[in-house]
Amino acid sequence: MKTYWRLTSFLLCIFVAGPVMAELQLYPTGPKDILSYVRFVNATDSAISVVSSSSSAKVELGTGTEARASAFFPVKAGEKQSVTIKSGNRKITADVVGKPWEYIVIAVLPKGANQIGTGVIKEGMGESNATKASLALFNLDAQCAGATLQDGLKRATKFADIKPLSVQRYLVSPVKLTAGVVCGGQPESVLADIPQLQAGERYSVFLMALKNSRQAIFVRDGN
Amino acid sequence: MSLLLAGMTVLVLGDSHLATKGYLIDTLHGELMAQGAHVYSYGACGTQAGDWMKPVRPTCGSAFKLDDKPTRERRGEAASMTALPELVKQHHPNLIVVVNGDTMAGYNDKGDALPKPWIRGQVRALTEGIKASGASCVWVGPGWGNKGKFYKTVERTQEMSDFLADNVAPCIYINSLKMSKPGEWGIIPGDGQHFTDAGYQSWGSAIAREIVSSDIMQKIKH
Repeated sequence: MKTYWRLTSFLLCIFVAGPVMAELQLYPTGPKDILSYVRFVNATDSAISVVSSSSSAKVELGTGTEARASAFFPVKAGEKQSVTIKSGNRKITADVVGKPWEYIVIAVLPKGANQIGTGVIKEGMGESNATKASLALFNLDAQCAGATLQDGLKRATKFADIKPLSVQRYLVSPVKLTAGVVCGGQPESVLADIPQLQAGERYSVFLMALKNSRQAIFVRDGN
Repeated sequence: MSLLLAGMTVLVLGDSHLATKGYLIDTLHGELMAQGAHVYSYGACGTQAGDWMKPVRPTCGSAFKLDDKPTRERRGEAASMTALPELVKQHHPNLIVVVNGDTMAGYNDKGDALPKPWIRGQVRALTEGIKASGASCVWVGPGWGNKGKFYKTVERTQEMSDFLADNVAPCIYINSLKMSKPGEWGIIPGDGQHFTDAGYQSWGSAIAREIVSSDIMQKIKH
């Protein structure tokens, strides 16, 4: 299902123009608005829709690998954002307030036998380097006490023991990774299909429990 | 005269530091020409790096200097900037020199964090354009200022410079902070960001020296 987002009241255009100051070459510097960024991730077995409570803005997330995560939407930092999340006839609400330049993932998760819930994971930008790729592992699996991303070749375990509803992000070389995610001391590895990484780009891997099996979903962050 | 720069075409792009006569649009431009390069310099006051890909009307003036022609200033409604792809088409530069940092640094007295994601977006917009042009590039970061009207503190300036150094690739970063000590170059009283003519002479000379230094030129394709 195609992921889309319409609308605007809680989206902001990121462009900056300094104030009109005639010939004086002095001006406040930096962006016009102080922002944070919000993304929604569907970690359930059903399609969901997310609707802004203050506008008709809407995003729909499916169950295909590429349809589970939305883009990051810029919102004004410090302002409460409220959404309603629908899955079939189930409906819940979620609120979030972002700090300046914070990245926020609102994960929609299975809850009990038939319900859905949310988990919110926040991260700063972390290190940024145009010669490296930025890769994160999010653990959205409540049954995975400590997630670890292992490089298939070197068995490197830089991303280690990530607790449920938390994240680790690192700069990595822009290469093609053959990687797997393991939980705790369990021997089974969930293959993370990570393509050739590009320098300067940000990426995320989401570990989630789907239909009683674990999956690792790879997503390009886009900003 | 530098054997490495002689005959090369250099395109210089920047913000307010290149938008007034006597600033880098004259001093850096002149230093590069003295090394034998053909130089085309454009300054657009108050603009961000990404604006060179989607031009805006500079809010506080612009200027340009084409090789050995006089510097032209444009103020008020006449101020303008031209998109990088168009400038590349006009001048076919071997080397692009970007002078941008202060306009994106978000200097403030409220303790607001450096807007790193936004800066990264601005920088990437321009570096992607430069990559597409095929030219080599260097990126000149901010020099030391003072609190002045807009709180260009030592700490924030250092943080901004460090962030740019990590994020301007494939451009080679030129660290202006190593060229002087804080306060060494004259700053216009009450301003905090812009230098006196003597300060711009020092900065322009130091940038040109860095560009012709073997370290940098050996990394630049001809």
